[in-house]
Formats: sequence, structure tokens, C-alpha cells
Amino acid sequence: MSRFSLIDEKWIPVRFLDGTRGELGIQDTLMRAKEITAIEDPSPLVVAGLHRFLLAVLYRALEGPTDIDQAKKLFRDGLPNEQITAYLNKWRDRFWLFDEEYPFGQIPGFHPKEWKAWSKLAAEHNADNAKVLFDHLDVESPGPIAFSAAARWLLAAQTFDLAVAKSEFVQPLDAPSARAVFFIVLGATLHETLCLCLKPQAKHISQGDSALWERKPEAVEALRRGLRRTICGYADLYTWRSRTIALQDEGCGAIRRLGFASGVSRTDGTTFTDPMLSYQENQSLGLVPLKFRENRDFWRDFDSVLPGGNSKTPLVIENAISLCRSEKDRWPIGVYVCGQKTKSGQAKVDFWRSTLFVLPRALSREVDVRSSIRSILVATEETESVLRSALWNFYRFILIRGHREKSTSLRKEERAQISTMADAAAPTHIYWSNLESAFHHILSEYTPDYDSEGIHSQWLKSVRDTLGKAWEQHRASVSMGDAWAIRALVKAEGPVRAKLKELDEEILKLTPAMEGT
Amino acid sequence: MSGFIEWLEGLNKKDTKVRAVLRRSLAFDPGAFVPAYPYVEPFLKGENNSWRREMLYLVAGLWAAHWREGGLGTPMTIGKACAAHWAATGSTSTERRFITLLDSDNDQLPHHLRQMVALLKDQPIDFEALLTGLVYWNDDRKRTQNAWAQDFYRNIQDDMETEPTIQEEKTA
Repeated sequence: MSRFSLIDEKWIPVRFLDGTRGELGIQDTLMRAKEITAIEDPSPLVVAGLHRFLLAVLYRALEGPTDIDQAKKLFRDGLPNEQITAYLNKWRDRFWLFDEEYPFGQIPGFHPKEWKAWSKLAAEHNADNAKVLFDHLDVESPGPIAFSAAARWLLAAQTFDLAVAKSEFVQPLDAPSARAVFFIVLGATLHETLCLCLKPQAKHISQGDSALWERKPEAVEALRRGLRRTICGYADLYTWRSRTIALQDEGCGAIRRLGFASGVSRTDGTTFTDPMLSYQENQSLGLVPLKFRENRDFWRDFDSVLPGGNSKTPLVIENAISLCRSEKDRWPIGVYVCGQKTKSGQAKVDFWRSTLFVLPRALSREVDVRSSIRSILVATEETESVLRSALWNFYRFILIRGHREKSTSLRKEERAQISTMADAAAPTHIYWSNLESAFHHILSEYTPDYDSEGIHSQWLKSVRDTLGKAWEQHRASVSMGDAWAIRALVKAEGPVRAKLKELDEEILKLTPAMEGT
Repeated sequence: MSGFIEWLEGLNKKDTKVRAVLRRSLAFDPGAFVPAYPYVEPFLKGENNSWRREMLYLVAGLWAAHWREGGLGTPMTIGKACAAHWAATGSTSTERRFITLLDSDNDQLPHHLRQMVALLKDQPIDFEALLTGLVYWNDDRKRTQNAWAQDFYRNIQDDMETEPTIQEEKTA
């Protein structure tokens, strides 16, 4: 018997305009999209998975948008409820979480050799790939989860699962965009968010596109042998069957176990641009998706996702800019940046992250915002290299004394040890974390009539103040030490003092002279 | 404490014994040499902070030991004077002595300071600043030691090198 209709049951977590939270089915989520502020879930992977799923429904229900005019009409007039309702009614029997023929997102007739705990779906708990710090879930017997949670995790797993060696089918590959940074443009309501992200795709592509639920589930035997095909459109990409999954309904209203194996892989050598990703040119690999880096917060590369440079701006951002150029009062409230940082070539998740960035309003005019943001980020990096160099010297003078103080006399392992200490030092972390919050603020200064020099000057003040604060905190923490520590501090701080002076001079140059003085 | 050196200079003009007595006081713990009392106590005016009292006696002795007819030039802080000495002599032990002085505890301080001032016989020393620094020697944040170190290292030949191995971060 079919159970748990994703169209009607409550499983999509949303926050309404009045601040209350709730869960809705697909139908209500789309019909009430103007009453909803955002989709909210503790896991950014679930949030991204749900957005992609809803967009896929819209691409198929609306059979478009196929051009910018259609996209603008949807943005202006709202989603055509009748069309969406008709579509959902047409495919109603494909949205049951449990169904003999069409269990949603799953493969009927898949009886795995080994039933696994539901936590296999959730990167947060998955002990196979990553032992998660502070996660105390017993992965052998994790207890039940509700159908609603299982449905959410199922979408996240299909979007983000990573290649592992173990599978009872062929070795699975990564989900198509699993390791990339995702960009979701957020509007004031879910309706706006969906429209901003609904990047038009050409009519001939749209016609050949299809979503997971519109196709007959692949045969288990075909999947076992390693099925491959090309991505044929955005709906296909957003509902890609990365894994063969079968949820086990034990009749208790919850999920405990599931079957899990490799799914459909992309045909080798085919490329398909994911609208939510930013791509960068790589000499040997061509365009590669932007990924999170372990020791470098994303904001330090924020300029690379804006139009005008060598890298490819996420299509959803380009789409949002196009839509809002004519409706400036509906400018996005920001860009939600999320995803997981993985170990290169391994199925290990280091962390997953979500941050909201202001999308500079100046982009509504065709001006080069990117260069301006690039210049402040370059100044930030240059200043940090001075700070790091000072810290490096500080630890050098702490560790090595006397005639071996010349850096040329240091052994390789000593250099490495000093570098490790400099990397872990608090001032660098203070520097980056303070400037990150300042950066979010400065982005909002990029109004359509922004003053580039004024912003540059304002930013340099933040950099100078943060550098001074970071070094002063370092000074305060070591100045009570012995004479060698004090000596190291004083000997190392010269470049920091010189940089502070240089920044002061630059700020002065950028500050307009007071009239009449 | 301002005006103490001026006060000693005034006494010195009136009484030739002053420097000899104060110089001799350096052989004793600060404030323990009774003949020095007539020259320092009137300035103290009932000061009952024992550390301040001791530092006044110590600086009085050091001033007397360092005094030269006509002076040596514009007085420098102890850190700058050490740096000038190092520049003038090239002695490699100067820095080590300076480090030892900075790490001195209350008991060691008079001894190391006597040695250092003896070493700086050709450098003009700002004893007023020295006294102020010594009064705050036991400050929790070691402000005096930090200030002296700054004076010293900012005035020596700078042999700073930039970090030789800033590694480019690799994309994952």
C-alpha cells in the first residue's frame, strides 16, 4: 500500500513570514511560497537538496522557463498555481515514499545483501566515511527516524554522496556536484528565491529534460552492472539518482534500515554546467567547480563568483541579477553559500558549511564591482602575509637562539615546525574572523551609487584596526613571558609596525581633504 | 619620583661627599646603608612603600657611580644606552647581559643593574627614566621590561629577515 505522499504530508521545514516554523508538503510549499521566508534545516546539505528538488518540480511543471522573459514573468506575477497543481496531480502516484512500483527516489525490488542503518544517508552520522566529532549516534543501532526526516536525508544523499570503495554493485562515483560550493540566491520569500534560482534553459533542452519521478525506476540488474548516462537538463541534474536506495518500512511509522548501493553515473567526458556552482579554469582539467578549502574561508575568494573575471559566475547569480535589474526593489537579500569540504579523492567530509553573503546592489548597474572587491581582498591578503611573517619570526626567535638565528641556518624540520606554530597562532585567526564580519558589512556598502575610494578607505581602516588589535592581543599574551619571549616579540614586530604606518598613509591619501582647511 | 636626580645634583653641588657615600651604598642592599639616609630620606618625605624606597636608594647609588664631570651627553633610556654600547663596542655579550637583566627578580635586580651601569660607563643614562621603570618592575604585564626591550631592539642594527617559506595554499 502506498504511504507518505510527499505532495501532501508535512516534511519540508520552512519558516513563515511571521517567524513561525513548520513543515509542509510539496503542494503547500509551492502554493504558499509567498508566505514562506525560507527553507530551514540544521543541515546545509538538506537545505541545498530541498531547493534543488523544488526547482526540479518547477522546471517540469512549468516546462520552463525557457527564456529570460518567461523567467521575468514568473518573478513578477508569481507561480502559476493551477499549472503546478495539475502537474502534481498528474504525477501524484510517483511521490509516495513507499510504493510497490514507484517508491520516491528509490529502486523497487532492491533487496540488499545487508540492510544498513538509516544513518548511511546522513553525512553527519555516517561512520563509514567519516567519524564525526561530537556525534554520539550508535551507527549499528541508531534508533528510528520519521518518514519526513528520511525523505529529507534521501534528497541530501542523492545530491552529496561521495564515492566509496564499498558497494554491492560497481564502485559508485561522487554525486554530480557533491564536492562543490553551492550558491542559492535568496529572495525575501521562497517564491522569490525559487524564481531567482530558476535559471532558464533553452527550449530544446527543456523538452528533453526529465525528473527522477517521471521515469520508470532503473532495473536493479542494470544498476548492478553500472549504469551510465548523460545529464539531459536541470531537472535531471537536480534529481540525479546517485545512489540506489531502498528504505525499509517496518510498519512502525519510522525508518531504521535501508538498502544502499551505487546508482547511475554520468557518462565519461560529458560536461554539464550546474547553475548553482561557480567554475574556475584549470589548465589541465578545464573548468572545475569551486570547492571549499580547509585553511581558507570562502569569503576570501568572494570576488571570484562575481561577474567579470576569469572564473564562471554561478548561473543562478547571473539569473538573479538579470531579473532584478528591472525590479531593483526586489533585489536578493543575499546568497546562501553552502556545501561540504571533502578530502581530495576520498569519501571523507572535513566539514560542511553555510554562510549568507550580501549580493552587492551595485551589480544592478553594469559596473565592475568585482575589481573593487578584488582590490580590498588583495590588500587583506597582503596585510595578513605581513602578520604571518612577523609571527613566523616570533616563533623563530623563540625556538632558535644565538648564532643560528639567521633563517638560512635553519633546518627543514625547524622551518616546518615554525610554520606550524605560526599557522596555529591566535593573531591570524583573530585577523580573519574579525575581517570576515567586516567583509559582510562592506558588501552592503556596494550600493548602485557606491563610492569606490570611500569603500576602499573604510576597508583599509578595518584592516589596519584588525591588524593592530591582533598584534596587540599577541603582545599582551606574550609580554608577561620571560626576557626571551619579550625579545622575540620586539624583534619580530618591526614589519607589523611598518605595515600599520603604510596603511595609515594609504588611508590618508584616500581621505578627501576637508573643505576650507 | 620626578625631580630625584635634580635633587641629587643639587646636593652634589653643595657637598662633595654625596657621591662617595652613595657610591659606597651600592655594596649594601638598597636602603641598608645608613650614611646614605641624609641624602635620600628628605626626598622620600615619609614614603612607606618599601619597594619604592629601595629603588630610590639603588638609583641614587647608580647615579653616583656613573656620574662624570660635565656629563656624557643627552641622557638615554637604559635600553637605548645598551644598544649604543653594543654599536660602539660590538661586544656579543651585551645582549646576553641585557636579557639577564630583564629576567632579574627583585633580589637579583640590584646586582645585575650595577653590572650593567658599570658596563655603560661611556653612555649617558637617563636615571629619572630608570627610576620610573624600576618602580614598576613588578607590574603584572611587565611593562618596564617590555619598554626596555623595545628601546634596545629598536635601536640596534636590524637584522630582520622575512619569512623564507610562505607556502602557497593549494586548492583541494
